Amino acid sequence: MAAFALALFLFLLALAVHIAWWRWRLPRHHTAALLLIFATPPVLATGFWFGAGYRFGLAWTALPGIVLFYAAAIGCYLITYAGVEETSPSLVIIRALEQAGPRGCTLEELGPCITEERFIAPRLAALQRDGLVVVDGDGGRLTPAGRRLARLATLLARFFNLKEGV
Amino acid sequence: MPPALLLTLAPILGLTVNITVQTVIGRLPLPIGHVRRQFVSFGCGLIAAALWLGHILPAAGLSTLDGAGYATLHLLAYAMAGFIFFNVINLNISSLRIRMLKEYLRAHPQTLPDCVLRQKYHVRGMLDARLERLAHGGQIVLRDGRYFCQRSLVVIIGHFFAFLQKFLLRK
Repeated sequence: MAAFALALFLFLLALAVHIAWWRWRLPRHHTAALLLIFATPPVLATGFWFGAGYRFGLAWTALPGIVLFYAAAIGCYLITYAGVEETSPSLVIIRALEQAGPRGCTLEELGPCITEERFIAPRLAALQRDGLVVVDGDGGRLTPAGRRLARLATLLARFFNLKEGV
Repeated sequence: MPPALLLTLAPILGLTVNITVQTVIGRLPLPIGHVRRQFVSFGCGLIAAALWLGHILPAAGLSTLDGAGYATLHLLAYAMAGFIFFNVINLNISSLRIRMLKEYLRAHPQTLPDCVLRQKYHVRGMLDARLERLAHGGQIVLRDGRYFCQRSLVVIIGHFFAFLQKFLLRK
């Protein structure tokens, strides 16, 4: 049980630091700050573990399981956080319909929920901010990093036979 | 190999089975949507991970409490890895950013004009497609020309994200 308790404790500790930081003040670069927060607890814990002469009732053979759990938890949280940063159009529609209650909404009433300023422009800006696309004349062009990511996405879509939605 | 290390193979085995099943059923002409396919492949991976743990744990000589702890640790690790895989697949299908990147790749090495991209991802088309997808999934219903929200998991997820946005980002 010690392995599971430690893995969970490290993740909850990082999560608590993240919440406290964000409530105090929003960092400029969210992803970099999150990576720093999530990388710190395992580094400190490993230092303590070595310093204490590998005690705390934990064998070294438990470490790969703890690392796997912690890495997977970080991945899950980063994915969830991306959904917090950028609202999905589907969730905006659901929220509008929920607020309308038993009256419901017509297509025209839902129109103002999905605007170019709210969904297209911020994503284009994010692609440029993340260094995946560069402005070129009246359009954009992929950077080498953007090309690698786009190729990976295309490869995955082909491999798993995925059809794009809208 | 020490049993505790063998236990670590459970999430890896589960994820391998998950990906393999997803690859196979993605190529079969089955009349089921991609979300259901992902649930099926996730379930197969979970069974494989549980079977592996069930095979290794009794021989590991652990106390009941430690055994339960290791089983929880590795099954949760698999579940979270499965969630990441689920999102990698879903991002490819529905993420606007990923689909825009693919548009840029199709145009590469030429510049893709903003007007062409905006024409392809015009908001009215996006609204129609999302409404169709939500109606198909049973999250909303169309009656007499008006859309209504249905109680569903998506509504709960919507509340969860709205709460996080207010709590973390004060949006």
